[in-house]
Amino acid sequence: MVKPPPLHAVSDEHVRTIVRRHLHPETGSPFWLERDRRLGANAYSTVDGWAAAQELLGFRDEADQEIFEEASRRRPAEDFIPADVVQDDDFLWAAQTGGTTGLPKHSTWGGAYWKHVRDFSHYAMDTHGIPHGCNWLYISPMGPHTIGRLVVDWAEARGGMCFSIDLDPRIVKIFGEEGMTAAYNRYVQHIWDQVNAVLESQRIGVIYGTARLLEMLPEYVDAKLLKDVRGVVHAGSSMPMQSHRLLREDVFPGVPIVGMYGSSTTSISWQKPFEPQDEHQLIYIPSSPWVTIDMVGDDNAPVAFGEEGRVRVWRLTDDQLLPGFLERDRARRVEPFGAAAELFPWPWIGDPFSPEFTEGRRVEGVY
Amino acid sequence: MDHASRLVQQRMVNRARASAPALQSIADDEWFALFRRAAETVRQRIESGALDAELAALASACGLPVRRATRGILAVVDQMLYLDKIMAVQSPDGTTTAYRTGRTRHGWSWLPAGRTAMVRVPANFPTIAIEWLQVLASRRPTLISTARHDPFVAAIFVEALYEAGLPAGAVSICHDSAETFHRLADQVVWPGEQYPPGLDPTKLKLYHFGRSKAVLPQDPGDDAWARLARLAFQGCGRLCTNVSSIAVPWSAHEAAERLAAKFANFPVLPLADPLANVPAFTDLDDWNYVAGLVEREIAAGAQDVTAQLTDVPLRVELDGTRFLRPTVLLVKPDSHLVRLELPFPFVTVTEVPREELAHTCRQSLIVSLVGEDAELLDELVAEPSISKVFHGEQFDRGYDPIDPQEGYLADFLFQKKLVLPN
Repeated sequence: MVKPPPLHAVSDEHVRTIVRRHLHPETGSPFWLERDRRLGANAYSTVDGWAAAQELLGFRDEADQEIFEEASRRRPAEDFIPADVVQDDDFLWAAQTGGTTGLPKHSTWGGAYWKHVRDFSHYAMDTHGIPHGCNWLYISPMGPHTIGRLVVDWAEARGGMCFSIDLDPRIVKIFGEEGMTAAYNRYVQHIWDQVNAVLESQRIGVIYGTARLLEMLPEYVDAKLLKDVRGVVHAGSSMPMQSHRLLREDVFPGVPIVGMYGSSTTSISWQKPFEPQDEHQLIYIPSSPWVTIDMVGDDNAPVAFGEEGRVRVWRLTDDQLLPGFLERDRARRVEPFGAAAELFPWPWIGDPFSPEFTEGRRVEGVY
Repeated sequence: MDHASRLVQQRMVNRARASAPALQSIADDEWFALFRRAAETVRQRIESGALDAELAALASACGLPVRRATRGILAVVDQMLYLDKIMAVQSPDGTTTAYRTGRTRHGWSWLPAGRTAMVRVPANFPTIAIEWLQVLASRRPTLISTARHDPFVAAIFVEALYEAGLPAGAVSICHDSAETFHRLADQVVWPGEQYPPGLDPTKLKLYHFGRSKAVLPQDPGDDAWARLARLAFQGCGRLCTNVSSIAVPWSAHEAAERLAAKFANFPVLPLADPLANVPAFTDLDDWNYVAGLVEREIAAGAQDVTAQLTDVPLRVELDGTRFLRPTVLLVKPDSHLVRLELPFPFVTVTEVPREELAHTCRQSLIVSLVGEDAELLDELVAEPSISKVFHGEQFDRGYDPIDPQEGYLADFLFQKKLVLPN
């Protein structure tokens, strides 16, 4: 029996703790204190719970959010962190957004938050059957991308080494946008040359890749090189239901395949335990209360269960506050169901996709 | 319409490869009877109204008059009835047996040059479906990549073929882009002259790039002008066989006026009108681009003879639908439009010295010689970059898949191979 992680629905107490830390008059985060003064919200005193936070602290409109986004591109990361968190002994991972839609935004993942994500991740992987004691092959962006460091951490914590390749999604996007098809194709081949070199020489038991790259895998990699794979983890872009089914049934029959939805902003949401009633839809469980995700309509209110809306994120951790950030991603709002519903009774995320990378719900690029 | 993901495309390719033995195992008579049954199924569905929704969607998405689009599909149905003859003429011994056995009476074998073939199908006009149908009829597992505006025609025929008994996996459709097909198909048949840079040119055949022309040594008379106009309007001006340029060694202005007078009989009408012949542009950028080509040429000195005759502007909008008025343009021989075909009834007319007529017609699919000039006929026939020369009473015969087009498809799909002992 896998021990569940300490996740719970967002509580008033959790909200009060985090808001007062970020808006503490002396040690609060400089950016959020400035915004609080500009808006005259006095959130330190007035926000006493989740409802008040949504009313008084959430981004007011797109212009308000844009001020934050621009600042997160250009101001020092410390401006968004409480001073006492900057000064404590725990580490701060300097995270960047993908950078495929402009200058990357900066944020942090502090040590405590990292541990929460790690606990949830190992729980999810154990639940899905991702094995321990195996080497991993990581086919995804490394460098400034948080997921690279996360996966190395997970692989090592699970008793394996993490082999990786060079993959720069930002240059891939430039090749696509500027019509450099030959360069794009050459870069894709370069990715697979690196992958094959690792698979030919190393004992790989778990593969991590973007959904897009996993879809290409059988085209570029000899099936014999994949015979010892005992687990597959994917993230980074939406995966069509038909591809999910084929990966499970044709490419990796009997091998656990688990998806993650996330970014440095939205954190990690893990795919719910696979059940037949999922019908190969990819449904993810957000890591509440550290990150609270909902799907909202144009009125910024949650859409009905089963409806598609824009992904809105609240990050409520010691090192970062993100008050109702509207992602570009869209997803279906899913009412919890099946075996995990009781453990994680907050809205789940169904089949998320990024419109800017998607043409007619078809994913472009490798990310 | 869902796009087939890369994994789905891979599975389509694998199923296509696996279907090859089944395709080879069907007796010749039964094989072509299967196509005839499928053709009759499509005809019945059209006549019963069962495909009305698909045909309306096709017409709307492709900017084609409904009646013309329907007739285009029925033209393919008719061609499927003699597909055995279309295929036989392409084989080394003039029969369909070699497609199945690989044996010839020449001492060498005639074998597929690949296990699978992908065909990219443009959305110009439904009659183009005969191209992939020939690939399949050669018993080659076929991967169809349909253009963005037309997922319909291929689906109509593929559904009927499977109902008629086509072995599973023999043909698959990937709508819109099909990167995995590009990589994994052994051979690729691609329309026009511009193909994706990632495609391996050694496994590529380009087809139906068009630019058909007519040369008129003398004024051919009123009936011939009417026939030339109809040739320009066949398939709503979207065919590679439409006359797109006329060269005359006499007054080009007079020639252009004669043709423009006939063009005036084909007004721009709503697509639902049974008499409509002029296609619409569903994409605003395409409309602006094509109109811009013509407008720039006019600004540079070309004469819009149709405008002078009809007062109808080049850009026409009817109930929010965009059209370009059928156009006869009087141009200089060095105009780049002489070597371009545009996706609507559009003909350039140019005056060329008699001794340069054949040279002007190079790089053409069909050159129609209207009128008598034995010496010019010899020159046109001798010009290697002209695929077909039609003259005499057959100057406007148009397309028949039994003809060699850019050579025969089978010349690309098969290879002569000596196997000893045979």
